[in-house]
Amino acid sequence: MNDILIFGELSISNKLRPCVFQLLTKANHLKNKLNDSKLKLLVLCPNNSNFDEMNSELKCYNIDEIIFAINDNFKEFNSDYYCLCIKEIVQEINPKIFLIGGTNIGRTIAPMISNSLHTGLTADCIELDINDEKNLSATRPTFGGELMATIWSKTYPQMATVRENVFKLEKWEENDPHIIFKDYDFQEYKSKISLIKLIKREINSDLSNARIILSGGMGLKNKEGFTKLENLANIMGAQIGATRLAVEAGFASSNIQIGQTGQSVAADLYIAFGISGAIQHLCGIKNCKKIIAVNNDPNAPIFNHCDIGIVDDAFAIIKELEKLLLLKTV
Amino acid sequence: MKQQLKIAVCIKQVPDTNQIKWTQNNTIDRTNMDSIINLCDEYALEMAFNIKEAYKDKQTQISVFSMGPYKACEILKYALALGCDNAYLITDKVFLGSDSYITSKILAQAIKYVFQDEFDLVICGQFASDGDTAQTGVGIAVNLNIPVVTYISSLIEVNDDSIVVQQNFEDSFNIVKLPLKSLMCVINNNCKLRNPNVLGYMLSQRKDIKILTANDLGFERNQVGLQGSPTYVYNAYRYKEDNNREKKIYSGLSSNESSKIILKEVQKLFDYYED
Ligand SMILES: Cc1cc2nc3c(=O)[nH]c(=O)nc-3n(C[C@H](O)[C@H](O)[C@H](O)COP(=O)(O)OP(=O)(O)OC[C@H]3O[C@@H](n4cnc5c(N)ncnc54)[C@H](O)[C@@H]3O)c2cc1C
Repeated sequence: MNDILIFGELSISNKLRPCVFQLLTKANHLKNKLNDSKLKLLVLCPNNSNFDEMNSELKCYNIDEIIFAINDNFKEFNSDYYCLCIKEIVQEINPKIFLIGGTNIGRTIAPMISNSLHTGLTADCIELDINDEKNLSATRPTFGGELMATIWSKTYPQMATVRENVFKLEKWEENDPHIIFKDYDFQEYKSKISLIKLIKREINSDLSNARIILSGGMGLKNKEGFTKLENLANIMGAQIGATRLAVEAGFASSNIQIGQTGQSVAADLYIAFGISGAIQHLCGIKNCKKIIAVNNDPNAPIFNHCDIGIVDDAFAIIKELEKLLLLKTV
Repeated sequence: MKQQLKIAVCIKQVPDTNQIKWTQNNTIDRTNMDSIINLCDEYALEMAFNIKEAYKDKQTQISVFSMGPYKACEILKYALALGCDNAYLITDKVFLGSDSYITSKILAQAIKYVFQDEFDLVICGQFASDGDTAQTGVGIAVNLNIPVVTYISSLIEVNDDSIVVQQNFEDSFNIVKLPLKSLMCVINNNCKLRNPNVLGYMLSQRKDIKILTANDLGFERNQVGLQGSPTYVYNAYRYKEDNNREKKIYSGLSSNESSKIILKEVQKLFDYYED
């Protein structure tokens, strides 16, 4: 009853997603603060999966038990099949804590499981800890971008989702987890949802390895503002990111959103143009080595969280940078 | 073939984050903040109208639900002006402080109360801009015991007893078929949204907003609100300013001078990469 269960989400190429290893890392720290706790991993996969590869990838995380639930309905994501199986296994294991990656799939199944098990769920946490009562303490920013809230849950399992790349990766000495293969049987059950076609997204919008990121907010005013930023990024060999408001306004695509509910990045240099610096944005860039902020409002909170601040018009700076860079290369 | 189609749309009123002004001590100036309809929920309404238009031979009725204070009537009126047929405000002091688990329960109960079992679709926004837990829609589906499809960006086609939609995931676009009697969570796809017209506005003036309370829905005080919610805020604290950052702020320089400061940092990196 003190166990920690992690959901081992697979990508469309049937590999464990990075968030799985990041959650396992954090779970090791949580486990150390609990008595007599086991770390368990649940993976749903089709019959022909590469179990050896997964097992060898999972060697260095002190896992006590890996449960592979196997059924060909897990070839692709179906919320009905996923939820039915996860719910049953969670009830069997009866963990204290159940952690899920904050991906599209994770954010779909986590509330399904929490509602069907009648337990609380905290979404998009940026920190997890064990409190004095030996329960999960989950932290996320509150609305408005000023305060952080620590959330506790009265029910078990205590559930939380965490976005990819929020937690760093650590490894431990190799161990031999106990492995359970479970042929999951849906009997007569048939989901009414079906996948007709899956189209792989070609554009790589993963910013986790980007070294220089030019990021834009509402200060860029419109789509054209982002085109200007993109041009500059091309010249500089940088990638672009955006705030949630800029994404909501349609200036930039949602897959380059940076922050609590977008991506977490760790660039060597992060340059923010017209970004106010709400906590939800800041917690996605805290691992960047150097942060430069360009904003025409000297009171913008981002100036308290940057290395270099420039109080100026974003467009004037973009134009000037472009000019200087082009002059340099010819 | 069923001739009637009943759609429920759940919408939320949220503060307008587009208007945030910062005071000198980095707190939000809340004095002039407006409330608006949550962005994803506008797309949920748009989806409902698209489905209604696609089902030419069916008589479609769209009902909208919102849980919140009386002020939330503003967005319900807006939905009526857009062409929704019925509007329900779910409001009660005892609902205050409900987390998303309880909010889902309350909304699901309201849908059951109004329709018994006679509805075909529930449409929600994927997330609300003020909480962004993205849990409420999915939770409603679980409480109503119907299938759910999340992250829906557009309608592809409607069939007699099913609907085909596009779902946007990180690594793929999925074309998914869902049955009638299911729940859809819709994202902002930047499509053009309709606006209320004069006729819609006039017609909406004649429609009432019906009020549903805890008593109507059969909830006891301790089952909802802060008391009924499994999660609660243990404490809240100010985000520390980052003391590891140098915070060298330049104001009053020419754009050319400032740009050179930035380029120096870029150059440092390239030198470092080349080594
Ligand atoms: C639950 C939740 C989750 C969230 N998740 C995220 C997230 O993942 N990522 C995220 O970014 N946000 C997130 N947000 C939103 C966040 O709180 C802020 O609203 C958002 O980050 C603000 O975006 P912004 O800085 O682009 O816009 P604003 O706050 O409007 O700031 C625009 C800035 O541009 C400046 N400006 C204007 N004109 C110019 C000019 N010409 N030149 C230079 N500067 C100019 C202004 O001074 C201002 O500081 C979330 C919010 C909630 C409630």
